[in-house]
Amino acid sequence: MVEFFLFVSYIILIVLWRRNSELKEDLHKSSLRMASIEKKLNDLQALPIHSVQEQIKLQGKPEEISKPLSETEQKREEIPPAVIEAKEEKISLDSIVPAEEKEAAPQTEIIQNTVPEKKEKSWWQKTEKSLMENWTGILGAVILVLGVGFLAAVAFIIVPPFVRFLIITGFAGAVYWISRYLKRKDESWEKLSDILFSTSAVIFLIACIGSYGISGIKFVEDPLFSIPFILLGLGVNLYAGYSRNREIYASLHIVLTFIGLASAPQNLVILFIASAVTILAVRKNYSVRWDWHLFLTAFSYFCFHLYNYAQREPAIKSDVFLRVSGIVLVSSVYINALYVHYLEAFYSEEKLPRTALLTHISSWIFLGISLLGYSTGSYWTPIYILAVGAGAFILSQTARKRNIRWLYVCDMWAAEALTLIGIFGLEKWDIPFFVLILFSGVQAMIFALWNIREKSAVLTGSSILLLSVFQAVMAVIVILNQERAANLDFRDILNLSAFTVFVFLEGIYYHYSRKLGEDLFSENRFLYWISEIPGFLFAVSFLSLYAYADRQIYAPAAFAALICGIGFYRSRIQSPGIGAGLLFLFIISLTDSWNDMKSFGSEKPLDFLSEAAPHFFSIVFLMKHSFVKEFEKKFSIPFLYIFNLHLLLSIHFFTVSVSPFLTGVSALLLSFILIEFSENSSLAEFLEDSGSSKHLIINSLIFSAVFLYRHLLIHLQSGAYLWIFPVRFWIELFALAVFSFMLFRKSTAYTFYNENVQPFFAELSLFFSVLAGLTVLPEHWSPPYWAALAILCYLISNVKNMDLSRFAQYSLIVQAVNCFYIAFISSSEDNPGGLWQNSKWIPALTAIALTFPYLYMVYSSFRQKEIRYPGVLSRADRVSVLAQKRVFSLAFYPFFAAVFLFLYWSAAGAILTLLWVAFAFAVFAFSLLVKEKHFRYASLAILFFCIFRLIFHDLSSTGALTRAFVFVGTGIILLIMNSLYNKYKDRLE
Amino acid sequence: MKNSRLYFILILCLGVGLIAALSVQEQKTEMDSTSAPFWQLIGKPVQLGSKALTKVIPISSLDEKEYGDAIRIRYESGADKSDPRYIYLNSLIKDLTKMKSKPFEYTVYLMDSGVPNAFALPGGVIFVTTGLLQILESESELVSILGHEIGHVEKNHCLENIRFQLLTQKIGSATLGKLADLAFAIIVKSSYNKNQEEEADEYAFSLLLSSDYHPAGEGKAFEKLAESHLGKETRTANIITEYFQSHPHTVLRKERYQEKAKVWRSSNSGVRRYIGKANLELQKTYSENQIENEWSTE
Repeated sequence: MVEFFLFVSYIILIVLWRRNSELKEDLHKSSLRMASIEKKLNDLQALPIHSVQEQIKLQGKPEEISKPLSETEQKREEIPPAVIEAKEEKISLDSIVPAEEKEAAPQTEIIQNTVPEKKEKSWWQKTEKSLMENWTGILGAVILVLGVGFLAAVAFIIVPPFVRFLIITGFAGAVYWISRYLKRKDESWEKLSDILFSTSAVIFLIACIGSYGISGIKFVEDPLFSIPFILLGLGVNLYAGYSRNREIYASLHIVLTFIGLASAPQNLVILFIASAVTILAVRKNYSVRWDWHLFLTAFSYFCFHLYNYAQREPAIKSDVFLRVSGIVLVSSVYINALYVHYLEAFYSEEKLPRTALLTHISSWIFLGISLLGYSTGSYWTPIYILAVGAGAFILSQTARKRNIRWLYVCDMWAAEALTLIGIFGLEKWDIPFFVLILFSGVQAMIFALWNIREKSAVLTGSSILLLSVFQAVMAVIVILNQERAANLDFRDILNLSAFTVFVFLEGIYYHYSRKLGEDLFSENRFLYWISEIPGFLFAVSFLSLYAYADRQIYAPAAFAALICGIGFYRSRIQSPGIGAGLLFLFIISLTDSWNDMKSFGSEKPLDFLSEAAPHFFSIVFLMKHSFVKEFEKKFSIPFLYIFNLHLLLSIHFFTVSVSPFLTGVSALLLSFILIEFSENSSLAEFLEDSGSSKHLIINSLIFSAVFLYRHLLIHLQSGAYLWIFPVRFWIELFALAVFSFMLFRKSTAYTFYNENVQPFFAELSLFFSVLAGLTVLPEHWSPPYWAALAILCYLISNVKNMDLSRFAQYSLIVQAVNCFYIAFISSSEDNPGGLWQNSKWIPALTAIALTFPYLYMVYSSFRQKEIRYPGVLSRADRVSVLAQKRVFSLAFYPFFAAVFLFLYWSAAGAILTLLWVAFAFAVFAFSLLVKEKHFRYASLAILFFCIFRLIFHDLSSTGALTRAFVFVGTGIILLIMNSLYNKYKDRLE
Repeated sequence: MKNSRLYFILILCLGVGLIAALSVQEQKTEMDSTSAPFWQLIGKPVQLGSKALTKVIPISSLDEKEYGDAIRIRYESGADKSDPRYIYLNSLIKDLTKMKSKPFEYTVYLMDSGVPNAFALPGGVIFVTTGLLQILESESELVSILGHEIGHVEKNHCLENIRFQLLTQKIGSATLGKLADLAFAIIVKSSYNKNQEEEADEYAFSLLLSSDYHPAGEGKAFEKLAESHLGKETRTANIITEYFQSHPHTVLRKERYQEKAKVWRSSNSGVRRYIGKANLELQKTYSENQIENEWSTE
């Protein structure tokens, strides 16, 4: 029963599939029509009503214009919609659009031409029609068949099998009678009649098959006796299929025929019958073009044949006759099926008939698989297949002569595929797998050349791709086997030699293919790029050989020479493929060398040199021969980067074991040298690139970046000393020198660098000054260092022609750090050994002393400065204006606060008060010097605070002597202040 | 132009000379790469800010003393005061803190643990593990370790850990302060705790220099610690873990203080310094028992 329902489902699927595609086609056409109608309607609506009226007037219909619009609309409502549509069409195309506009709008013309006279239906109407016309019938058939199924189920329960058979056959007869009856009625019943006719045949076929194969209605036990029943069912079925001369029924019934045949006992006779039926069905295609029918026939036969073969496999394998018969039958069927497409009447000049193409390709595949099945185990199998491949090749030439282009392509593919299958079949002859791939590659090469000669773009492309695949597979196999490079056996040597020969063959092929296909490739750019793949692989293939030779000391030099040779050849013939492959080969061999260089280091200098040196030559050679015609440009610059990278890595790998510092320092030195020679004319001439200066600068910056990276991650950790200073300090000093030098090196050609990079070497220099200072100085000596740095920054800001005015602002930041240290850090009391030289007040007082000249400089010139920031920092100019306005708040008061706090945390009691008073006096004196009254106010504020403290705090809490000392000191200071003030008050006012 | 060429040649000579010197000296680094010093550099401003904060909030060393006393009460009962090692350590710490700035006495407790370690708590409470005493070979090494812990206390590193607690204790809400300290430690302290360790190392080295002990003691102590960590420390940079790492790499500390000792020795040749191997063995401090052959001029 399961088989039965599967069968039914299969029929339904086929019917639905076919109908579905037809319906899709109908729907597509309908939607195109709909779109054109909608466009016309939109155009009509877009026209202003008065222009419509004017047009109508010009057409001599004044009575319609004179009518009120509402009345017209009212009339319009009364008219049936179809009529309105037709009218609107008429108006839009004939009366409204002026003649000149019509000429100017060809699209409108097309629409006009495609509009049929009969009224158009809406999408809904069309869908409804489609459903009513087709789907009701299909669904009816399906339901009917299901009903038969149910009936069979009932019959299964109540009556003996033969009676069940009779019932079903009777039912089939009844259905047939109904179909005949309907046929006699009018045309509208014809479709249903046809469906019922097919249904009756199907039911009869089921009954016939069931007589032997479906339990429940099976009444024939002997297989031999089942054949007449099956043949009867098939005959009726075929008659039903072909009697009406319609593709859909023919297709349906031929498929059913094979199902019927499959249910019969499988032997050579059945295969013969099936083959005969198939040939007859295929012959139908010689008179009428039924593409789907042909495909379904070929496919169904293939499925049937597979089943038949599987049932008889042991017998076939042991009997030559059966094998030969099978081969003859299958070949007959498929040669017939294939030859259909060589009919010039149907397929000549056809662009690309998809179904026919599918059928043709499928037929070749079916034939190939079937023949493989028969020849499996035979020593001569590959010869058969190669012979068929040759046949396909001959057929392809026939198709070419008959100008059936697609078929020619298809057969050439088939020929190539069959030849490949044949070649791989040679494995039975104990030919090594690698050699088979090699043969396949050579075969693809020959096909590619043949196709290039015949100017077939598609075939050439596919052959080249195939060739590339085999080439790649060979290269991979060779590389995978390179583990055995030290101990090669005969087969390895054979493979390697064969591969080497192949690589050179490919080189020759590539050379001639470019000459032979010059016109073809120039017409088709896509094909041109595909044709370059062998060139790419030719160059890349040397990697496989490199994998074997890698362990030899001469290998890098040899491969560098090879790279130069290929590079020279590429340059001569201007091959992008070889260029890309060469680049790949070059990069891999270079990175491999880096890997080896890393392992050799300075311990094996000769080995190291043998790896590193050849690449310098090859890079320079490629740099010199880097012209690419495709871009009309010389690509020397990328090689410049590679050269520098190789140089840096060579230095790194060689020196890292000696000293890890050397890489960073060398990178910085290289950066420095490159900057110096970035404008060198002979270097630019060698590179033959107008932007060489720019790239040399970029290289220099990259080296600087490498140095910074190594400094932060490697050098900073070091506590080692070189002479009396840490190694770090020396490196930072060198960096400071280099970056300061770079600050003076402007480029004549690279504006971006001049504006956005080069000025910031000043900041980098400042950073390294800070770093170097902090490296050597103990932390408690930081404040004097910050104070000195603030002075230095301010002095730098005064340097003319350098535009370093921003350093004045940086000096404020440095000064703020200085103040912070004085206030919070230097006032700490920890001094482990209690040694005076470790006391923090000494550096703090030094810093305070150094700050005064700084403040004076700021006071005297900061506000007059024109501070500007370069490049991306130019927006900070606003900040500088603000800083100039608030310079006293930013420079002086933080310092006063810092000293105040420093004193607070460094001293206690009345002594603190005295120190504060002294500090107030210093501020006062400074105010006299700079003639700024607010400093005076500040000093007075501190002073009165001190007096308050003296009276209310120190008086009660201090010892007599100290108290006296403090009071005296404070008094003297106050007096001096007073006298000074009085002396200079006129000037102050 | 002439000047420019001259500068170029001078800088080139400096670079070539530096490369030559580094090659001849075969200057090596302890690690292949590390981001810890970089993080330390970045964390420096944060650390300075934190120091300033500790200074300005109204807590003092007296508050820290009270806190330390509470800790002492807690651990006093468990400590075996008759243990010669306890006596030795506390005798040694007394000598080392003669110049202390904090208004409290230091106490060292011995912790029974095989892991070589030492740590300081606020208020001058220091813990030393028995494992540490086992790996150290001389008193100068022990002094460097104790000096490091004293440095943490003297430089307010310990106080920084409890500053908000001490502050809020004054208004009767210590829990809130504890939470603030915890949050601060989690969010900010990771960025600069390596700086605190370096400060404490420097303090210990200054202590050695200003005493009669041999400055090489610190490098040796770190060498022993590095050996005990052997295999646990990686040799390459890990940006994430090194940021959160609380201490600088021990191998780097070892190298730094070995080198500093060498530099000191090169400018102080012939100066006698005390090593104190026997002192550590006998549990008698340098001030109690000076042994002649413990002096070294190397």
